Amino acid sequence: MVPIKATLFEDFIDGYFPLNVSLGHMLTRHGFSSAWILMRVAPMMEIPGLTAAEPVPLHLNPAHGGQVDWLAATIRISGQIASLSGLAKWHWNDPARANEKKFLTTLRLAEPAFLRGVGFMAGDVYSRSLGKVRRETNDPNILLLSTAQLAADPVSYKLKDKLDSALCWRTDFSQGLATLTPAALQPWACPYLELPDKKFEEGLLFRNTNNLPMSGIIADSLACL
Amino acid sequence: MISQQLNDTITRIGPKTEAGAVLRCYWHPAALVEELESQLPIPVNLLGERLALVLDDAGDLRLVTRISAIGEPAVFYPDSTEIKIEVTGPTYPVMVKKGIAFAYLGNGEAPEFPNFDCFRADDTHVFAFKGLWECNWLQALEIGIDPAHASFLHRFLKDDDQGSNYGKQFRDKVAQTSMPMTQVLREYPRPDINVEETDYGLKITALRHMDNGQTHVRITNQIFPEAICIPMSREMTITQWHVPIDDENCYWFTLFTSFKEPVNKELMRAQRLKEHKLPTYAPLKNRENSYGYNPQEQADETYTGMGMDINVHDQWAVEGMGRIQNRTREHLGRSDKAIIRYRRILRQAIDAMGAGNRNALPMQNGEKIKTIIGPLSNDAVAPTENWSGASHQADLERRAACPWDASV
Amino acid sequence: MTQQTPIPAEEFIDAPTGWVRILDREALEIARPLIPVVLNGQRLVLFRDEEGELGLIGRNCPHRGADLCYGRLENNGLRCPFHGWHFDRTGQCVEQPAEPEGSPMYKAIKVPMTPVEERDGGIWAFLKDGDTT
Repeated sequence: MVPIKATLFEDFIDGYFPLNVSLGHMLTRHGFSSAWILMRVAPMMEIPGLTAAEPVPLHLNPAHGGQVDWLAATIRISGQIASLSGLAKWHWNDPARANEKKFLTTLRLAEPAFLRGVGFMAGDVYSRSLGKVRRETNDPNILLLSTAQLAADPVSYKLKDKLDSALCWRTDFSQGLATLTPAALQPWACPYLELPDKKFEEGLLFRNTNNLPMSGIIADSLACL
Repeated sequence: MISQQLNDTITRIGPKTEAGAVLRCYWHPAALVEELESQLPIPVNLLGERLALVLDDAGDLRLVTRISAIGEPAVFYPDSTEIKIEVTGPTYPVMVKKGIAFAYLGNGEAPEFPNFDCFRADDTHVFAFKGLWECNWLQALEIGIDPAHASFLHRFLKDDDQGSNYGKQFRDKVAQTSMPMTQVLREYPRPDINVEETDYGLKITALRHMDNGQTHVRITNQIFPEAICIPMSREMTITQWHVPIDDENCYWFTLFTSFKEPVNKELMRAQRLKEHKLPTYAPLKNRENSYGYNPQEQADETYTGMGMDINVHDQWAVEGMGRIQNRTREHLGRSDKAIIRYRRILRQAIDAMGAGNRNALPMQNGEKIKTIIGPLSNDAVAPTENWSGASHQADLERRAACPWDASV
Repeated sequence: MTQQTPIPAEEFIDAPTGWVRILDREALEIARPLIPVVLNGQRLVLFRDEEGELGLIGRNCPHRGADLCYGRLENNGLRCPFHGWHFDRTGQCVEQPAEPEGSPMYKAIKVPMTPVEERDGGIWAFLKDGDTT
């Protein structure tokens, strides 16, 4: 279990750019090398034939519109662009796309999206999901847990006794976005609920000492369950 | 950009609509007391319904259904002798507060009124007025939760002498500086905007970091579902509802609240009656006369060329979008974050009502509603490295010096 | 006595696809060279920028639909009075002064433009059938 430097944050990302481009802008703005984010209710669009650099059309053709109901993902910067891995629930207005399984992160948001998340800075600690992140020695409020540690269930409960309002978030990183279906969702575990019997690679454990109240991100995450 | 279907869901408020169901959970301004003082009954066109304010058998005001012709104009205002009541139609309760008759058109028991400053102030310190805007209520509300536009739409290219500006917004000096508000808005057009959800809606903070190591902090509020509470001057705030007449027309109803001197109601009323015609309170400047647009004035004096009254600028902006803004063509920026946060709350409320969960809506939790006070709404200046206490401090000072009980 | 309207009256032109002479050159020789035109039902605004070149772009600002007929003709383009979004004569948004510093969002925003040129003492526009946006 490694204490790492992390910042709880809220932000809006620009619409009209490909999602991964907007998220890349956001990471750069905050000085993060990676982040874990949660977005809810974000209108989106996919315009056939529109190249990444072209302006968006004036009018949204309803056949091209849809909505990200929620997205929970880790993001890492490579160059100027962010790459995403995580879970999402979405729907398109076009009924022909109802059973789509692939969620392309190069689609565009149809308006700026509000999101909450945790940001990480570049450092020496290797994390499979977050890239190399910075250790925190000064009163850490977040711990990075490896697979072995997650497997030892009593550890989480022991920590829960020690830390006030400890919340353990686990996301299934073993599957990329490409194979997701709405039916396969179990993104969260919270110490107040049953632990899922899924295999996780890494987890975050943190306590509520940050200036920014955690109630918002907790409410959002429970709404996704 | 959103789909036409979603746009319809958030804008349409007639009796069987989803947004209409949310709005009907709340009290709405139905008429000014000054309208009732001239005659009764009076017509009230509200939330797509054709109604009238009458005195019932017990001598209380009540909102009843009036018989109306198909194709009647939206703001039809028949004389009281011509009003005929549809006796089998719905009737609704009415409460008079501070010069406005509020009505509740929803199911079940009406909720409590929150204890906002505009309701707590002495009668001498609150003035009520209304005006017609020929557009959908939602775009009228959204201009009120858009802190970025004031630096452009309401930009005065020169600053006025502050003496003759009683009752006019943005014409006061900013507290603790000698800079007029119009100058602050003009020179610092790129505010940092913070939005927080509250028990009444949203608290919106606009920060303008000035060159002198100081920051101008402006706090405005959204009161769910259709109102705003914003500062007007160092002494006064505006609490303004954007009340649907139908899907294509609305009235703004405003309570001007003073924390210091009694309001000069004669002057406020006279200023506004010069700009509106009775009995419909329709503004004299409108689409037909291009809002008084003057290109020479646009070059020399005001950003819009439409005169000094900022209410006219807002009217132009919201009516110019069309009767119902076509949001399939809308492109919001990050500076529109308060609008985006508001629409999230509205859509969550629509979903909650659809699931039969009215208690999840803002200010629908019984006894607790009366404990909602304020909200804080002011302009303040503070050192940039520590601005967050300044508004709170300025608010407490104003409340301490207030002749009526404004304590929090 | 009629007062000159501050915004010129709309010019309506309906014609098949192709180049059409929509106005005489003199029509734009007014103090504020801007005229609303409706071409095959599409509401547009015709204006001359500071370089003397013509622009013919959609009439409503892509931000929130404000009427660009009331725009500020300045900085070699047309600026919406609502939030100061600035468009060049091709309809490309070139500035959004209230967006956060460094925001690239303006690059993704463009108002559709109708090709327009001057020849033979007239202003010509390339019409398309109906509203194709």
